[in-house]
Amino acid sequence: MATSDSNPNPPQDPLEEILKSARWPEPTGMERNRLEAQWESLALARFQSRRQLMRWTLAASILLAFGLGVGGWVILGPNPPKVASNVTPPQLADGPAPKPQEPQFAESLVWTPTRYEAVAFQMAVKRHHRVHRSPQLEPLVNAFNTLLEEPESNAAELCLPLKDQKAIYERLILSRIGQWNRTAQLAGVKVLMEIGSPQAIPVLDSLSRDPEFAKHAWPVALHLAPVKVLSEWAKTGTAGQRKQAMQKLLSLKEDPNGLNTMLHLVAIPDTRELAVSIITAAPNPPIEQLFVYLKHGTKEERHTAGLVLGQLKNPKITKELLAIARQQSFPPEVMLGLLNSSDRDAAKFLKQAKHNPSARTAVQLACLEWELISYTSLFPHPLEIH
Amino acid sequence: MTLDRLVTLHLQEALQLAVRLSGRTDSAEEIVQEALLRVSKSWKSFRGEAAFRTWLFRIVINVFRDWLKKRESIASLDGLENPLADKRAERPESALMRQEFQEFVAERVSALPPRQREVLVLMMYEDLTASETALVLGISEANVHSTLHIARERLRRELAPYLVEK
Repeated sequence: MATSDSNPNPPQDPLEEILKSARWPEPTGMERNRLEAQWESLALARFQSRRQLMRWTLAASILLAFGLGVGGWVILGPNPPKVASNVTPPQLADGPAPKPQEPQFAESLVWTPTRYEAVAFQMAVKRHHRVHRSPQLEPLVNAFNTLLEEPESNAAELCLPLKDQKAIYERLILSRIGQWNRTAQLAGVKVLMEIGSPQAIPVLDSLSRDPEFAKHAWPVALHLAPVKVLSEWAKTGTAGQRKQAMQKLLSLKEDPNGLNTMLHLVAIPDTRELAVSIITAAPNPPIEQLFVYLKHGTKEERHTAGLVLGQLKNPKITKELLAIARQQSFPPEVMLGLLNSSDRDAAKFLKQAKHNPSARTAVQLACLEWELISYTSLFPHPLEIH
Repeated sequence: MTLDRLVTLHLQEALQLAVRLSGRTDSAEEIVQEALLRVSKSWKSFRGEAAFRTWLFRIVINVFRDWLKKRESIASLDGLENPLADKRAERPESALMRQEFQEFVAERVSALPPRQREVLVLMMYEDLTASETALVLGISEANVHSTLHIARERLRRELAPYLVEK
């Protein structure tokens, strides 16, 4: 198998050169000095608190010892041990702790409260307002009124003013939508499509018990669902829901968990056929990403990627698989891909492989490993555990 | 080596990482300030199971993510909305234009979606391996490779007018 490769692009890739030339603003010495001064003051605070703790610990233990000594005198009677009666109370440090020396920097470089503290204060103010003042409801009411009067209005535009406090508005809608009439619920669902989060899914699910309303609620739920929920629907929904959930997973181009979950669904016997058909029927199947999984994934990811690549029925893919097979002594996941390919070159290779002991063994190993993967796919996937 | 020495040794790298992630020096300073605070509070939890640099980078990344949430950053959307065809889009000929172009490329990198940005910056500019990057970000190596690929392809599309095959 190829070793971990931080640069999968060919050596003369012009992108590499351009990216390496990227030039960010350089921090001046001032930032560094301020940060060093901040660290110094944090270190000093840690030192002082440790020193203070040690002082108190020392004082407490001395007081305890003194107390025990006095107690011993009281208990033992008028002839206490001489040592105890002669003990002098310890001299605790007088006054406050000595003032630490100012760091030896020029005055302009001494750390002064900067943006961090200002931001912290602003956040505290915002938090206070959030707790003690209601959100402004006007933008939400405006959006709703418009959608109620003109259902064909552009919900995306209407909901733009709601983005700043979308979590609060969403909570308001979800706490009330069950009591609204159907028209208002439809407007609510349109707003949730724009500002909603996965929090809305249980409520949408309960409203979807009405099949008529489900037509409107389901697309919103699909839009909002995270990968974990989509994975569940891909296994347990109706036929239509399973298909749409898988299509949504595959469409998450910027989230590698989408394809990762699809590959897991390929491993599971019950969802394999549908998952493979969704990937192979996609207008732009993620071929390059599949090759990345083929080379760098876990065992399950490598094998499922191999299988899907084989099923894509693309001569260029077959050529690439054959090249890897020959260069890397027939990795089982690549052999699995070739076994699943209907390409003539793949068939020819496999026919010849029967006479090659290494290749034959690799094919048998591929089949065995695939059986094992199909079995272990029935256990929870890491993405589903958290 | 003492904690103070370790922090001093890696402070510049932490600051540079924050600049590359946020795209600005003032934001980077804010991020590293908070990171130092967290280091000061939680240094006892560092058991030396990873390099200090990796541990520090993990803290910087976490602070960066919190900073993004606070800002409700639309940096990634900026990347989509800002047209590439501006006056810097001419092929850089002079040294000044080259510098502007290099800054432009840096802006594109800092405008990637957060996860892609983190992976690309750590692997390409901080020279972490895939396994170190996976450790810093708390994801699998396969995820690192996949995300790196997505990030590169995105930048390839955005920078297509400037790519010349050699």
